[in-house]
Amino acid sequence: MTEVVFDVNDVFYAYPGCKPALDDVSFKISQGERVAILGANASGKSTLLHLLDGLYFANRGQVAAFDTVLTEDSVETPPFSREFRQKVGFLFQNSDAQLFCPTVAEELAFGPLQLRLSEADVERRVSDTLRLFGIEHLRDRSPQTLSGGEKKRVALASIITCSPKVILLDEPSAGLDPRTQQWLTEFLSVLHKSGVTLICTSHDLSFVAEVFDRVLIISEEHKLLYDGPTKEALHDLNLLLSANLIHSHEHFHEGKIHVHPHLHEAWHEHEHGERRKV
Amino acid sequence: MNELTIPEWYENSDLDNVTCPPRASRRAGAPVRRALAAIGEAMTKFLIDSPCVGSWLGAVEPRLKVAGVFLLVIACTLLHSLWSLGAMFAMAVTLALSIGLPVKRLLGVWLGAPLFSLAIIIPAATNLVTPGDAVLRIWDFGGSVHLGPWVLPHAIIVTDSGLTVAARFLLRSLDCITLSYLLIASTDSMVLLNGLRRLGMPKVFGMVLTMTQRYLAVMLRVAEEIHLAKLSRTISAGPLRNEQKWVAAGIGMLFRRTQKLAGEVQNAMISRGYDGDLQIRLRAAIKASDVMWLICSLAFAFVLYVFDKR
Repeated sequence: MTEVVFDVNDVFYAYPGCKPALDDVSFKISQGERVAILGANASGKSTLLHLLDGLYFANRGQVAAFDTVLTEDSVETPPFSREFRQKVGFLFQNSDAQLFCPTVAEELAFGPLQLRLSEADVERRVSDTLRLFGIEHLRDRSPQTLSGGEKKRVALASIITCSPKVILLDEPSAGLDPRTQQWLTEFLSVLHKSGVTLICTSHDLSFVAEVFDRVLIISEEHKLLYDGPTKEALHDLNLLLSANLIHSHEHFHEGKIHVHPHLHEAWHEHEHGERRKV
Repeated sequence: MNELTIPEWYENSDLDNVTCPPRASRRAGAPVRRALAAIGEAMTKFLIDSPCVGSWLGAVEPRLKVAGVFLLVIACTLLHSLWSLGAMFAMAVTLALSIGLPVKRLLGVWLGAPLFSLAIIIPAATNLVTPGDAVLRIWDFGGSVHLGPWVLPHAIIVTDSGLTVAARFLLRSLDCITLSYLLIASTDSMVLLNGLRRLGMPKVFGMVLTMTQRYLAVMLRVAEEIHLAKLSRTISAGPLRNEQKWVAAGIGMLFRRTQKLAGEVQNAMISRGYDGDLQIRLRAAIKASDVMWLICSLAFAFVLYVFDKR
């Protein structure tokens, strides 16, 4: 039987003095799944990832990871704290916030060192990961001097050195050039093949279609609107429109300007209803 | 949804009839801006950069290095004679030069010492605090002056004893600052915090210091971004009152943005297993030269103390 990694049960979360960020959200995620969390801006996607990583805690309901309820006590008390931080990695949306060490090598060593691995083991992990990511030449560079794509690679590499079984990714493809995005897609597929659970928030539907099997859609009312296969979700126009993930807008192709719900993935084979010649 | 239309004033922008203050007004603020940028850069360097990590002092094992400097600083607080304090200062400067610390940086650090000490030094040098023989008469009241329950002397005079007290205070500050800066300049911040932690500093202090160091670096970056964002839309400096309003609003904005970013940094650290007890790579075990550093520090502190008590 597949191990349940996360069990989210009737979770309600509101930032102090603010409206709810998540309301009555429930789902389970099993080991090895590839799950994308979709939703409009400020729907609560990033908040959900923070809850899964034990950085925020639900006001109501509960989040359990590896059969242990995540509370301030449980995530700070060994041995679960160490086991949890080793098993779950979090790629933050803002790479600048994630990269805080003086050099890339120290950045990669930070996680394994906090897990109290031996010096030799840390060095082996750092060297192997630098090679795996093709960033050996950045080893002694300061992370602040890197480009956006390089920062994203280093941020992901700094998680990989902890050998997590689950990786949470907050908008990983945002702001990446096409080549880096393609590299990211391939790398996530490789991770999945080795049994790593991937949970990702994104607005990029083509990226989601390429990498993830299952989709959770959060509505603008901060409730779970859909939980199911990616393919079905991305072909349900009304669902995507209601979650503000696609929209109708005027665009041009085949020598015509016309209006229809627009998703840059398989949606270009359509009947041209409203059209006019240019 | 509203129809998106570019406003007419956008398409037909005409600035011919708009008068701006002459360019000189912007130039007038340039030295201040340059000074602020330089201060920002210096602070960033001070927080992030440790220029002498590769020096012989940088190679000393962090725990023993912290212990050695700590001994010297304690000795400074016990010394009374100006000669002893002067000798300690000479030793600290020699150490700084031997590790290749740029003199410009050292001067910057020293400049802060008298500035922050003035509030204590000035009264201490006069007969208001320290009685003694007159060296310089600053102000003559021509009679006794009552200030609430206090009676001031007939004149404010700089006394010889007062000067000694002020000089002792200033020298002691300079000694402590120079020694502390030697430690910072020759040790990476994370290694330094680790060394302090290994010497028994409570976990919570380590966490607060780590976060503070990160927070200050982040705050400087955000402050620079806010400043540049304003500069990119500034044609000339506005009235002083408007500038004051902008500074006040900028401080509020800076606080909110840095608080958010610092929170993200903290979450990123915790997410990767940081639990308040920072683990870092110590590249070498304790060597004979490290022990020698500690013995020399101890010996120097002891000799000065004995000399001072004679």
